[in-house]
Amino acid sequence: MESTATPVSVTTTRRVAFVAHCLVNQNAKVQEFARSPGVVPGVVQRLRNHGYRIQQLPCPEMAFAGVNRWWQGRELYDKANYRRHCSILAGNMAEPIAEFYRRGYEIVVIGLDGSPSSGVRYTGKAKAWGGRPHFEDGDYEVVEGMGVWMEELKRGLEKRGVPWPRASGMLLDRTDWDEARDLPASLDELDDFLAGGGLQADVPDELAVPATADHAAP
Amino acid sequence: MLHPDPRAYRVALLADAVANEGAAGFDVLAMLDEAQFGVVILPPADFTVRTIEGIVEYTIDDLVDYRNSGYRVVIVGSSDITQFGVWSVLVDAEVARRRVDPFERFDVVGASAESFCAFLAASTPPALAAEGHA
Repeated sequence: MESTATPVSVTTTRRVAFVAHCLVNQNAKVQEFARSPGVVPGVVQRLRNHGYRIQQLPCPEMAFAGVNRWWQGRELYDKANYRRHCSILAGNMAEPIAEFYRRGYEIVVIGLDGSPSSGVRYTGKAKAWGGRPHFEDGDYEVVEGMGVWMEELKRGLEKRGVPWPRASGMLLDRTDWDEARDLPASLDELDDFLAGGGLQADVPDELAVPATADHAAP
Repeated sequence: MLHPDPRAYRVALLADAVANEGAAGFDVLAMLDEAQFGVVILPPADFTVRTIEGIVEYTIDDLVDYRNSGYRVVIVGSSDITQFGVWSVLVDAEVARRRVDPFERFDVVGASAESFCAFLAASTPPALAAEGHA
């Protein structure tokens, strides 16, 4: 783990970061998209430098199709059954997120930008994918927008009266990723985001019970 | 292949208090990182989380899938913390329900950085051993 000097936030506020699962567990990535052996270098140190406790979101892709799943773009995940799956995970995570709000923590969400599921600012489309697995350079396109899981997490929190935390992402899911070129800038961007702190909110002891699920096919 | 995949096929279910509150006398998370483990962190074991059964169920689904796929999976917690810091009652129930072997465990209580390092290096993930890696 790096111990180099990075910007440090001076705060007495308790902070917690709910991070995309794979930022601290690269084993959850689909094959060939892991960027490091275990933990993405620098992430833990940056979070600690800014006073954040580390919590982890589930990886909905791993839980849906396992560690040996095929690659998929957003189009293949943007289906009612996958959204229903994500909605269950969101309902599970609303409780610990709400409890951190109740205990006075500032909360942020750090997603995995470029991911079809876990992107916050950017997601990944692959219009040509489907059927027999086959990959061509340029098939996977990073575009602005949220991944399916982050959309369902945001919706699941808000339906229960839990505010969506301040959120951003690290743009690691690019097919042209180069650690030496891209990681330093990505960590600097994370630093800037973390320095801004998180959201604090009052949340009732009992969360709202969502109305009937709305998982109609998009 | 698009590019080589550097994953190390090592996963640790890590107690929140060990990761975030220094419940061990050494930096467990940094050592796991150094040993190329990815980590899975559950909510604090002293929180009121009404949905914790669902969170643990999905987590064990993942951990069993990893192990069945040749990954090394370990649990790192503290016997000084309720439920080993990892909701161990629920974890054990999920493991028993699946009738699979328990995961390797490391208790940070009474342990040293050296003994933890030795534990982490004690075996090679089957997926890597099959490929002839040390």
